[in-house]
Amino acid sequence: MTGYFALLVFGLTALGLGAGLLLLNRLIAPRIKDPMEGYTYECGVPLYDKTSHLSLEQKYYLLGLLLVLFDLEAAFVLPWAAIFRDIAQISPGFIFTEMFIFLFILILGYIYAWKKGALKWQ
Amino acid sequence: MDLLGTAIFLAIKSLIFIMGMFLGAAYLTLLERKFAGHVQQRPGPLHVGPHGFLQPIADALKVLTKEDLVPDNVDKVLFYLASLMAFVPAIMILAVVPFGEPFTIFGIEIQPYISDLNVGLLLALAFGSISIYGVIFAGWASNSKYPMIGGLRKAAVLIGYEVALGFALAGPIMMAGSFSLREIVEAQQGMWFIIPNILAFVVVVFCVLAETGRTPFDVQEAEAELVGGYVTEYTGMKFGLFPLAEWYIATFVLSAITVILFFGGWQPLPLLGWLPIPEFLWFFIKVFLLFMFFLWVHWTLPRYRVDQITEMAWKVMLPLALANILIVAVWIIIFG
Repeated sequence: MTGYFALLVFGLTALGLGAGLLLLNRLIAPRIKDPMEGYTYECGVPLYDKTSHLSLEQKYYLLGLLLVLFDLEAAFVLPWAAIFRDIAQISPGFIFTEMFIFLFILILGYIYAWKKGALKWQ
Repeated sequence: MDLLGTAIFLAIKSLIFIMGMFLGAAYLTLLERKFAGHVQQRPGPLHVGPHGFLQPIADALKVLTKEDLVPDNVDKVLFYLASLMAFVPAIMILAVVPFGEPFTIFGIEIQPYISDLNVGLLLALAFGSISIYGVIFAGWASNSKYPMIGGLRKAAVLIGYEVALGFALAGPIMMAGSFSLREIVEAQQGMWFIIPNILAFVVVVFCVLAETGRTPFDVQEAEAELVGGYVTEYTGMKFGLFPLAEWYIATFVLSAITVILFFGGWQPLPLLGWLPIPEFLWFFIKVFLLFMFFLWVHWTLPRYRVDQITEMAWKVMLPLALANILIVAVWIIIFG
């Protein structure tokens, strides 16, 4: 538990220091009002769109779905990796085939996604 | 009372680590600017102090005394939170990096790390991914087109490298049989993990460059296309925390993680073990060399397009990482 407690204390210290720097900046920096300072940066012309949240589209929706899937698979592979060396001394065939059946199915899905063009920028 | 004492002790130790990292990062900026200058055949910073030696202090004072501008239509909470979100997780990785074995000096046992958890590597991976949210938040909160494009591009890069990184880390974990960074170093007494894990090393270098946004993959900033990318609307210290976190702290600690995974951490270089160099110095020498490698890549290569990065991550790096798992599994079964 001391390890996690140390991590918590470290995180709080870092947070305090970062927030302290931002606060210090706000306290000591000069503040001179300018009529144009609230403008969003747009090459010096008035804004055409008031918000940018609606006017852009992203083109990697399918890749985002695949990321969730494959990151979960990584979560299965990592614990297997941690015990691989111990089990491999007892029955190497078992632990090897077990995970590579899993990875084989994973790779089949990956090839399917590739052939369907899901890995491309759409 | 006992808990309070431990907390105060840990807070002081954390402050020492963070202040050391700040000072280190400040002089890494000078190192990078000097290096970049000489790559481009100009001298770099020269005028503040002897040979530009006080430049980082001048930079820090300048960033602290710049006006703290907040444009009218930004999301104010998220706007401030974004710089903390980039900075805090990046420096949290430092908490799990061990700089050496515990040693005794003047009868006091000193542990040169904040915490040695048995899930250290997973925590480093998690904090590295969380720090990307800072960039994405900054892009969203600014409510302006250039930061928005920068944030979306960073999200695309994250989607690319994240999977390959997860699978690439399986190789060193299989060799060491543990997630603890200290045990991974101890397992490299005889041979560094670079030997069967060379493919994983390539993938990890790709991922570190993508995660820290250094040049072949710096699409989120892309100063030639996107003005300042995700930091276009930022000024003062809110701005200062981003490059500090991404370019210096994250690059340094991820170099340290890479050295621990593949280059034997604080084990001496092969055939040079007889030199009277303490182990943490060996560690810093290796981290420094890897950091310089990243700088070298940064100031040499041109930028990739963002769709090229995601496609490279999914179509080249992911198969390499999977092949690495197969190679390491066969290696362990054959050589024990």
